[in-house]
Amino acid sequence: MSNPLGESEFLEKNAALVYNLALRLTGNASDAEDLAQDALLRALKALPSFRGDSSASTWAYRITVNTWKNRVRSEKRRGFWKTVSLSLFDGGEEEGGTPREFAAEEPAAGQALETAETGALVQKALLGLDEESRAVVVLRELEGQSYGEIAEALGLPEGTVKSRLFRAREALKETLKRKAA
Amino acid sequence: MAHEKEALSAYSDGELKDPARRQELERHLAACPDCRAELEELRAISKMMGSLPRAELPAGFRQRLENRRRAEAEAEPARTTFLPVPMRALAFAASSLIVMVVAYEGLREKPAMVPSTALLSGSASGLAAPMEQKAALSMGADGNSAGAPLGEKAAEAPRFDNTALNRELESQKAKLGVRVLPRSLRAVRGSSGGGAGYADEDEQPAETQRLQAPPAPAPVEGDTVGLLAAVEEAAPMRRYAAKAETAVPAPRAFSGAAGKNAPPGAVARSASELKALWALMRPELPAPKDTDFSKDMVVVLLAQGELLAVSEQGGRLVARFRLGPGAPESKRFLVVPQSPLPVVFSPNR
Repeated sequence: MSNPLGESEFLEKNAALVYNLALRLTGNASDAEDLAQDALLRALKALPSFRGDSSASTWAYRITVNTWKNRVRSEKRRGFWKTVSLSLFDGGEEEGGTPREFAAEEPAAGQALETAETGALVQKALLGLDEESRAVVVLRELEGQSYGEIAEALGLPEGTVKSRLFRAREALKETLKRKAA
Repeated sequence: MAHEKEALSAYSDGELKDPARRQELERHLAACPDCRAELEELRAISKMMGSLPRAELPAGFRQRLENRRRAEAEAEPARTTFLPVPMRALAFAASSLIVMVVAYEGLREKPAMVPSTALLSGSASGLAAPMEQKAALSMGADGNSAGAPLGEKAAEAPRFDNTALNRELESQKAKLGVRVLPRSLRAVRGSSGGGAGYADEDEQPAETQRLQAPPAPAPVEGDTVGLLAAVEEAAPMRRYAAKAETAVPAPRAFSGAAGKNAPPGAVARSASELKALWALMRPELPAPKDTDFSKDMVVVLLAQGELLAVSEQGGRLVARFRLGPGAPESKRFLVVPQSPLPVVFSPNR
């Protein structure tokens, strides 16, 4: 538990997790790489002081979400925060309506298309959520974190995680239903 | 109802931890098809979310991370290895003290720049140009005092009077290689050509009057101190020489040209001009002998250096010269055929 975690071991286990979280939070590959790198740099700097009270991945998620929230805040302050609108994805139909990072993942063509469509749909719905809700949903649904871990990662009480997750799911359901209709 | 739905959401996540609460919800679910449908939807959403593919790290991600790390580490020491805050405060205090001391000393020095002590102390920097001119004007044609060492009396009793000032001026001029034309040769500008001649016409020697007779175009700026040769091999001299390139016409005879436009040489077209000119040069300078002024004239470089050639170009005589020490004194003049053309001194490149 209190064994100091080596840098390369930390990166080996967490870089991809952090990148995937960043990808779901930002919705595009280049912002995701920026965010993931910022977060990992901060994590590496703070690694000597990491005491292992939570799992390293929860700790890394927390840093990633905080880094992301700071970026969103400062971008909003500067007034050019652009929430990726749903219409951006609607308008992207000529590329199969699929953000590039989802496209080439599945081997079977037919299934890949279906998965890609679902992926695009879900990502779009995620981006329609406010930042706090998005973080909660991503950590729960994509990263499989427990409420306790999410509370830890986001610095929220567990009760808040629970209610926020519920509201986020309601919003997602609405978006997906509308889209399916 | 919302409360129940929130419990369903937690239940679907396996996060409804209170066993009693969980059992209660399960009993309700068994009886309520709506809540069962709601639970199905929640699970479907979770499944959809979970179906999002995991992305691999982009190629080169780790390398780029490493690069950024190294760049930040390189930028870091500049900040972290700087003095800690208490030391910085100390350094600031120390440098402030130095500034104050220097400023105080500077202010203390300043009153000493007043002529009384500055001039008599022999400080070259204490000799301001306007002062020099004023002093030169007031001292008359007393060429003999040139180079006179500073009197002991003056040194022991620093006092601002004309005699002491003139002595100091002469000693400074000797040091700097500045020569002042004898008054008899100073004014080439006719009294008609600007009213800047002598106050007392009778005082002018015949020679000067002869020079003035055909009022020559006067390139001379001012008529006060005749600086014929400034500090040799000094930067001002080089600038002065460069100015000469811009075709400042030499006067008919040598003229007491003051200021930066003065040519670094002169022309003697008669024996008397030559004699007067030589009086200005150092005595050890060999004079050209037996010049026949009915056919020839003498072009002289007043600055230290070598007069290379005199040739006619475009209606004027161009005297090429090279400044600098090392050339024999005899190279400072050339005997050339008499010519009424203006002489231009031009540094050789």
